[in-house]
Amino acid sequence: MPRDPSAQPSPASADCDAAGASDAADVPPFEELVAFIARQLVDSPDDVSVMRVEQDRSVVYQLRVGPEDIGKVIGKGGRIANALRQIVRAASSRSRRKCTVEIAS
Amino acid sequence: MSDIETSASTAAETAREALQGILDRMGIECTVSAHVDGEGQITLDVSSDSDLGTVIGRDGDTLNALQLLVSVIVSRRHGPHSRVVVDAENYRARRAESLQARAIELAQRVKATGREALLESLHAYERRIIHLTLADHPDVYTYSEGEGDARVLVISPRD
Repeated sequence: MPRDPSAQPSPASADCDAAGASDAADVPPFEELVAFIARQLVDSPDDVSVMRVEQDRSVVYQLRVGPEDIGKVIGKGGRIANALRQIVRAASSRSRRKCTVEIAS
Repeated sequence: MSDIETSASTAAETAREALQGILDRMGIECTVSAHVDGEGQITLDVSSDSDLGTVIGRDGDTLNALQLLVSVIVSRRHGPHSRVVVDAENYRARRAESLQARAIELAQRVKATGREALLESLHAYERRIIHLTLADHPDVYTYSEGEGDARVLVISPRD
């Protein structure tokens, strides 16, 4: 009995694309969350920018601030940076892709 | 209103707006209310029908991160005088009660075995709760050792 080719799971199936698309949809953009917090911590809010970098299993938010403000978003022993990461992690906790924050210099 | 009261309520409004702004952008449906006590401490209370677990986090991690960021924002804008506490449906009080219960339980074990008990990964204010709970205990005493995240609270038998 010939096998029905349509019953075969195809390796590069539409499933992957669908999963990718729904992933993107169910991870709301947190650029504005990171930028909103960072702008209130620094002396030069106009120099704050956040770039979203998509990776396989995660999303990285790269935070950029003015050179004099880097210490203000890192904090003593990295306390502020860790708090930012905790908040983005919590905000993304219901999605499958984990989000994190990097401070770009 | 006195100048101090006026500045405390302005700081409280800054704190409330900052926290509500952060939670909105986290996608959390909630409302934040603020009150200032007689010593100028600002307490922000988060109430949410659906997302309370996210707001609190594991062992209060998210609540503590929110509290740190809002504290820094408020002290940048209004000076370092206002202490800010972020709470959600009395989590702080419930956590304090469970730490007190754990302290008393561990003290009994230390007394029974004569061996020290260690409590790791607590925040400074959580260690303080344990120290205060056992300060007058007849059979044990407490101290902390180590630095930063590695700081450990020790419950030790009295001789």
